[in-house]
Amino acid sequence: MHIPDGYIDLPLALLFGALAVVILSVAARRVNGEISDARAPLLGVVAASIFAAQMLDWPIPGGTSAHFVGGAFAAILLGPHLGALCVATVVTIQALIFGDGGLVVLGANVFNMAIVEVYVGYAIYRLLVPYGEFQAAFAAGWLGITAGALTAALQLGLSSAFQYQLLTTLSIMGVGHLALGLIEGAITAAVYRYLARARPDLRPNTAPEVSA
Amino acid sequence: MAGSDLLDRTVAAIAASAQWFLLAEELPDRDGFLQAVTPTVKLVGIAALVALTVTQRTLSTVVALALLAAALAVLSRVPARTFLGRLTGPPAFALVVVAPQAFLMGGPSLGSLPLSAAGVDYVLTFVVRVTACVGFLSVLLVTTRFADLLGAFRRLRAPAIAVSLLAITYRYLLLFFAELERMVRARRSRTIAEPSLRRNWRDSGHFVGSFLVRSLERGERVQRAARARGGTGPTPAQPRQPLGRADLAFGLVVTLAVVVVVA
Repeated sequence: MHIPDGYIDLPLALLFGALAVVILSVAARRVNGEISDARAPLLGVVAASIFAAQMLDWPIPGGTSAHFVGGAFAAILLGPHLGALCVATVVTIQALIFGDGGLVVLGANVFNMAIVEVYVGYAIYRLLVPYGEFQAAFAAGWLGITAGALTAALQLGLSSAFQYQLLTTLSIMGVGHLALGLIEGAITAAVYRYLARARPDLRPNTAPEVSA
Repeated sequence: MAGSDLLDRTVAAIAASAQWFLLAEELPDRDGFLQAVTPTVKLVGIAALVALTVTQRTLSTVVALALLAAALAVLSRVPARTFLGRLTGPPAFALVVVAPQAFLMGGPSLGSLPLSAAGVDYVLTFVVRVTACVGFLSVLLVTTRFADLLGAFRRLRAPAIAVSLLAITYRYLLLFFAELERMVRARRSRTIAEPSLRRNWRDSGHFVGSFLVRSLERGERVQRAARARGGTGPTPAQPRQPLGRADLAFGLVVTLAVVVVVA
């Protein structure tokens, strides 16, 4: 879902970059007023572990494999604000070390993957958790990544640099990620199931944010 | 696909990522043009070149900008294999994505072929534009140590907490790659019979969950240690250096590119 430079118009990239900065600044303030110096290591270490966990191949029927993305999972584990900051760090590292995505478009990618995916995933989890937490984790992973893809499709469809119409980008990326998102949902639920048993204290019902 | 093949592929992916790290720490030490440019100047200059490239819609201009990216790579003694290795993926994907426009766009056709001349021009321009952008980003990343890049962000007044988060994540990535690789190898050695798909997913869920719990506990320990020390403190960065000849030369290259393209 990383959009490289050259796909979307400069004004759109700057607009979504500015939106990402504003929302992440609010998120940083909402987490106990401000993230303290002493709390940053926990976030950084979790971001590094989510990055590493994305490397694991998951088997898919038909002989192929998929990767964990972890946006909704980070939101469930850390809470939405810390989750957004954590995934924003992962997306930035991916761009600045591995060149995934781009430089000018970095803010737009952060908006899609660290803000839309995380907050939508978390909202769905909170909405559905009374009906079953594993089902809620599944839906959060599934629909969170689909929402992020739809925002990317919106940016692409509105760009004059990308000749496909908005309806085309929305339908192709929306339908594609509704299908691919099922895998992310299943992985999120599988990992959540383990964590809920191994460290029940980490579940969001027990504490709104991770405490150490 | 066999579960053991997947585990092997995971190990290979981790090793490849770790290799990027080593390269990222090795190439910036070479004696080249961009290596001599101050990181802040380089970051701003490359961002300007990428922004300039993104706005271009004519083939000749984006080709010229792609050649400029290649020239910067040559002058900075970036190995061709490294540069081209970074350069092939995104443009190939871009070609697959926009290729249908060569048929879909209206206007006169290209000779006797069922292709639109405007469509072919659009596809080529799009792909070369993406190539040029990836080229500029690549020369920035392979000629600048990550710590210097973070120092540049700090000088450009990026929020200190964002820079700290990036620094800590970077610091722990190699450690986690190594830990994940050890865990995957251990799991591989325990895999005697090929598990069913259901079993494989359950095991993978336990595996990632266990890895994340270990990581989280490590994070909590690091957090407690940082709190005991009174915080992590600002990310260390080299003191501000006066602009040198390389900075002026790079500034001139960027200014010339902007003037020639915009004029």
